[in-house]
Amino acid sequence: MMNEQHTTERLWEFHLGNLSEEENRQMEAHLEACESCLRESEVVKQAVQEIVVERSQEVPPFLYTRIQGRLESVRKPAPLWKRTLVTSLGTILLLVSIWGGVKLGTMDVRQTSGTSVENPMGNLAINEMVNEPIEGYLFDFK
Amino acid sequence: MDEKQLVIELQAGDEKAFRQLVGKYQQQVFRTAMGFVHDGSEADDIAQEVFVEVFRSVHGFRGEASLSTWIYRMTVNRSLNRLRSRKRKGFFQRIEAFFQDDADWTGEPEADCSIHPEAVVGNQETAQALQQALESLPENQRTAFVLYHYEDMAYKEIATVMNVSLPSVESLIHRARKNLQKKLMNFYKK
Ligand SMILES: [Zn+2]
Repeated sequence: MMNEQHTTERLWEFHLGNLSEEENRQMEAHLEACESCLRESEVVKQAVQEIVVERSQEVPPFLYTRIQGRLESVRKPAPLWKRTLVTSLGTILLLVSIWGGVKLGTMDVRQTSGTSVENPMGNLAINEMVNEPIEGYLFDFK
Repeated sequence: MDEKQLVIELQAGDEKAFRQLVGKYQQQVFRTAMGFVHDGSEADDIAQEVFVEVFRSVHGFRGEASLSTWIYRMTVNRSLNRLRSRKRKGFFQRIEAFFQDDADWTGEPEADCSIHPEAVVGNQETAQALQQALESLPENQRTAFVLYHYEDMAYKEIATVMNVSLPSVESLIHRARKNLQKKLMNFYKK
């Protein structure tokens, strides 16, 4: 009755709801009379239904945020002046802390020598660690 | 905002314009990707890749095609690439299986050329049958089919996106439908 290409296209468009009323009636009449087209029609109907379900899925929320996240990780490096400024500030900070450390170190030496006179118990903990025979104590089972 | 203005602002690096573009095209990108990969999180991943690519390459956009066509092309390419790498992975997994256990090796180079009812389980039987049937189609048939059935695109638009003639699109969609019917008929017979 219908040629092969025509039937295939008509069947799909029929299930997609794209045919006119007249064409719909013709198709329904044909399906009542033609068993082989009816079998094909069932398969097409199933496929169209599956596609409708799949295409109705919504984009997961916050897509823009996820895209931004990806862009952040590949953003261009900061301009040269910014990088130079950050590096020099870092260097200055490092030098200041080294200088500060050295200063503090020399102060500590003076303080320690002071306390040893005023408070002979000042370095007790350290002296104990040195003098305690730890290994001997641990393995002395007798 | 019309498309020309949107492109100008995107090229100037305007973040608001980019946000607007994502809002406008996200559903179309996601839906198209779904038609290829049939998996929400993978389609989401493809959508992210597409928009990152848009952001990075919009300065080179000369407007020979519409913004929408340009984005569709990117989505189709990314989706097809994803499927190709999936296939490669499957191939290497089969090689791995061969070295792990000789009995697992079937020796079939393209295991997904037909529908395997044994791989289809539970209530999602028909959905998986359709997915496998779609995946077995040649890329150009699948692309035309997805753009028509998932995106409701007119044949003329599909011809523009795929850069082929109108009769070619008609023929591709017809062959895709015919092949799907054949594969699904075989599946339901079993
Ligand atoms: Zn018939």
